[in-house]
Amino acid sequence: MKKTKRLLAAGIACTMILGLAACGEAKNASSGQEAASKETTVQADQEELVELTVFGHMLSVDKIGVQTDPVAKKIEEDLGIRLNIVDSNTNIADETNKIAAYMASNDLPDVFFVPDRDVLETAIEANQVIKLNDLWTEENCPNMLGANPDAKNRQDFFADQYFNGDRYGVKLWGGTGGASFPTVGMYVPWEIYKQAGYPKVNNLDDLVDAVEKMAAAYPETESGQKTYGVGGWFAEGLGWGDWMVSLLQNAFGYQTDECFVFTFDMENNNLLEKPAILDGEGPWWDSVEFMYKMNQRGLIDPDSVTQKYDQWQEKAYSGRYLLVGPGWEAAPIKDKCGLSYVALKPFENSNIVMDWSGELTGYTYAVSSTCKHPEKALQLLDYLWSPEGSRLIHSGIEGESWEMVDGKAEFTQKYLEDKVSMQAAELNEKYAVYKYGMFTGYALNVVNPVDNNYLDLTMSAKYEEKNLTEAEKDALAYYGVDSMGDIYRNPDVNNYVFRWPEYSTMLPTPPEEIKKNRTDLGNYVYREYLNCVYAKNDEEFEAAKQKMMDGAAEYKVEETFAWYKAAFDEGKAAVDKYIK
Amino acid sequence: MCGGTGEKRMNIAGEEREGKNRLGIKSSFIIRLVLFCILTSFSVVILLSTVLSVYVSSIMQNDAVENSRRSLIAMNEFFEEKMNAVKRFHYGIYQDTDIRYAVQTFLTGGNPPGEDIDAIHKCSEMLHSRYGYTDSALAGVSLYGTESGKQAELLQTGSFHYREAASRKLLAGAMDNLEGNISEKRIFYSVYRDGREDGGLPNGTISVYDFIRDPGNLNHITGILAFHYDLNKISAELEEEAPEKNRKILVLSDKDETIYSQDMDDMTRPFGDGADFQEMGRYQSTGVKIYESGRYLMGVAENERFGFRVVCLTDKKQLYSRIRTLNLFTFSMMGAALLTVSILVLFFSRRISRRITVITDGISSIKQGNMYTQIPATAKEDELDFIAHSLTDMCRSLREKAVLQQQTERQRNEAILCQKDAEIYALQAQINPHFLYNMLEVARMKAVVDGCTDTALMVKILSDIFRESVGRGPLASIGEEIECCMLYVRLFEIRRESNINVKLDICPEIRKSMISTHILLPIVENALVHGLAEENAVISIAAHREGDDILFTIQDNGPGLTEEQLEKLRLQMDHYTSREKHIGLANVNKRLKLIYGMQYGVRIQSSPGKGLTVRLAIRAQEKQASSSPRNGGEYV
Repeated sequence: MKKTKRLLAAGIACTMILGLAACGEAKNASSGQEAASKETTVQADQEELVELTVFGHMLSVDKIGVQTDPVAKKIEEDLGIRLNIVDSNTNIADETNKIAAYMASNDLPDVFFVPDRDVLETAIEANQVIKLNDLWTEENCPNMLGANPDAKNRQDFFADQYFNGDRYGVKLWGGTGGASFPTVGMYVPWEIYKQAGYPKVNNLDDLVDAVEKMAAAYPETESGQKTYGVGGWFAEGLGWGDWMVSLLQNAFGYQTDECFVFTFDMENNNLLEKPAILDGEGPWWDSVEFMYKMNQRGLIDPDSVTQKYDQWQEKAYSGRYLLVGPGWEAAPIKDKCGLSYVALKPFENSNIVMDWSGELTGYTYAVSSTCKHPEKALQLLDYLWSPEGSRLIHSGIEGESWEMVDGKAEFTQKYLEDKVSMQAAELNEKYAVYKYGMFTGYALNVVNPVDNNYLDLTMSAKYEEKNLTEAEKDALAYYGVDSMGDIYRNPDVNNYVFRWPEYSTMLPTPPEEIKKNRTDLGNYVYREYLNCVYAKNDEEFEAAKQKMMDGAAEYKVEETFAWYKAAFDEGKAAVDKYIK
Repeated sequence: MCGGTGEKRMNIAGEEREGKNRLGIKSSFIIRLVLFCILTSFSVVILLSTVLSVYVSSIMQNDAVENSRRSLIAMNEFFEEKMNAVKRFHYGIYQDTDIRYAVQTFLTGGNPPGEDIDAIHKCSEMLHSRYGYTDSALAGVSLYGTESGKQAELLQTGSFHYREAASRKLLAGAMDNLEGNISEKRIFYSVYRDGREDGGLPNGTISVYDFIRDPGNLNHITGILAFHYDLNKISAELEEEAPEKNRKILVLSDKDETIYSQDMDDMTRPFGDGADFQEMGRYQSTGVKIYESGRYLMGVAENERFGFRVVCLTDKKQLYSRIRTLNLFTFSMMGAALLTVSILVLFFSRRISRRITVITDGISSIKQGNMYTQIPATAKEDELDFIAHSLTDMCRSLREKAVLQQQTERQRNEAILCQKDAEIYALQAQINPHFLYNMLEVARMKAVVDGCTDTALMVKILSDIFRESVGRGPLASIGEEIECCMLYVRLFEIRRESNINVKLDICPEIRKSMISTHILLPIVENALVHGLAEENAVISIAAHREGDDILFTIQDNGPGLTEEQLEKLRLQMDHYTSREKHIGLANVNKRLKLIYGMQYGVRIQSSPGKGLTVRLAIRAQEKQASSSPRNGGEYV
């Protein structure tokens, strides 16, 4: 009996052990269920994942379609949005045509770049964009509702000024900031400038002398090509072809209307009192005179009249021009010919433009009426306006492509090494640094308000320091400063913010007569001004100058100027309310 | 017979029980082990079967869902491509200025007939050359002017059945759509189906269309662009995606109208209003959702771009019947395996039990003192055989050790007895020694007074011998033993009244070596008593070292022994026991063997007339303070 009991006890114990094991299994199964439940949550989150088709502007996307790079993945994680880039262009005209075709075939992508306001108005009229008013909530767009004042200002301005307060689009690519170099300046190859004995430049005449000395010191490139003081792309046509003449004004804080009616003064964000073409002592005529003097010394490339910008670029990239205006070309020139173009320090007490305002302007994106998840589209656009969203687009994933070191955001060593060793497309897929280019809230030259570092880390002093050439280091030593930006940002120079685009957008379409007179004036000046540049002597220059000024009167320039002045004043009052 | 066998078994069992009882075994470990194994096996098999069943069911369900998902994605892509074709061509019309113009003028009816033909030709050419539509399911592409009523076929194949009826239906539906906001949809559908024709497959057309807008005023609809797809050919293209028997795939419009069903006979929705379907969260993924109702698993892939959805219905009854069959098979196989294992376990446990009984019986026998027990083993040489062998070997080993121990004990006892004999002999000589010494001294003095000088000398020597013998311990130096012998010789000389020539050849270096007392004296005494020649009696005593041993030779020149006498003496020496009263040569021989080992002893040589030579050997033993005879040193 006792034996039977013991056996029974053993059996029960065995069963209990097995039962416990089974319970363990059950527990595991239960935890498995929990895991499954967790997985469910994750998958449910994934289920929330929506795909948005995007037509972007100036993206560096190598492969059209659903994006799988780390930045796209991060957006998926943060917002539950999968980016499907259907197209990206850099040419506004092409983009306008494509958007028109998309609209006509009622096939607009969910989020699309709006090339100009007319396109948006057409889409509104055709019911092909969503009015976002109802979706403009704290949940969908906290940044544009005030968390980020930079974002809010411009959205409010856009809605209030053009659509009676209705939200039809989102303005991206803005914020005031500046690079460590002037966008337009007196860029010279520092190696040659040094070779010429660092000639002093305190006015435009000094600049002519300096360029002449450099030309003498460096008559031809190492490959035997002749060098020139300066080159133009006058064959490009009105508005851009004459830019080489006008660009110096930008460097000194002025912007002349492309039809030469008025000049915008960046010091006080107002128009100069005289029409540009009639102001003989004004900045535009100063520029023309400078070019005349350059020509007198034989320093202008003779092909300037017939060549376009791409031909100019080809020569500039060979190091054949000793004075270059566009600051954005300094880096590619250095890459291609090895010469380090450094902008000369502005003349004493003169002006310079280092910061470009984008408080109200930028690129517009809209949400199509066929978009099934407009709230998600709005969340995406708002996210791009957050400091972390903008940093993500500009500099990639923290810990992968960049990291915080002693409070400063820097590219990681791994990224910098990969940047040297990997192909651009491969690097783009691995890090997606600036892959989505201008599809972001803050522009690249803006400082992140959160960590006080540039959003685009290629602009950081640390990154710049790593890439300085011997010539650039020599320039720093020559000016006695630590970084390139310090050459231009100092008490000797008045540094103005370039706000002309913000004011110019407010100019209304002029009456037909004004419009015609202005255009005719532009064409007239464009035909004539090279006579001044290429005048044989001072007398001929003065005569040509006077002839142009007299001829301009025939296009009722005073009347046109007065209309623009009044329109500007009105627009300025509206804009100033939104400018910080 | 059976009764006899049963009785035998009972007897065996009884014996086994009796054997175990003897050993104090009250329960069976083997039975417990077997029960444990069987219980464990049962539990594990049930557990495993359940887990396996759940796992297999889960896998099959996952497979069904995965297959459904794959079909959904493939069908989604398939139909999306059909609709994208319309959008691409439509977009292309607006990208090409000439075509755009030609289409617009055609649709608004502003062209003369010749230009219309040209416009249609241009469009057809673009359709073929630029877009290269070679879709075999594409039955036709049409343009309809909504205001002008014009109609143009940009592409037409022979498979476009009931074109007019299909077009009428399309236009009627399009006009209805125009009443609403058409900007919110990218594409529109119109499905025309006809019944069976000649008993064959039902014919039908899916028309996918888009509204053509005036580029100058996008709200102005000028026409319709329609791509017509042959339902039968779509089915042929989708043959690769043909569902299993338990699945059904449908394509529904955003208004839940059936655009396409793989089962062309049944274009109705088999799942009612879908209210009884529950979402299955764990299977959701981007674009695809899985629902479950009592009867169906339903997968839905939403196409947000074109507003249709693909639905895949899996009949759970058919799916789970497969799962049930598989589970039944699994449980059956597991049950059969379990039964087989149990039978085998019982069979082997019985065999093991029998063998263990044999071993326990053997142990019982050993326990009773039977050291000749042999436990039988099998030829398997397994662990139990090892135990049996080990027990048998252990018995043998114990037996041998016991015999050896008995011998050793016996020898030890004999040595002790011999020593006791010697001691008794000495003690006997010690009887009241002082009285004896005094009396001997009185006798000597009397002899001196009486002028019997020889007698006085003998008494003196005798007294010295006694003193020497009684005063020693168990060990003496060889020098002392020789001196004692010389006193004895001197005594004999006086008694014989003649000199005995004693030749001593003692190596000086061994004089201090120790020797058991009274080893040499009995031999010298034997020579004096039995071996002295009547005249010129000579006794030679020689001792020298040979390796670790010391060899003594005591020789007389007496009459010697005959061979017979010599043999008798040897026998006497070999079989000497302590109980014998003679303690002469035999005693010396026995003592030497006990004290120094069996290789030591006395050897005698003699022949008649040539005296007797006695040789003995001892192990050289240097004198030590602790072992000094005077200090009570002992042999053992």
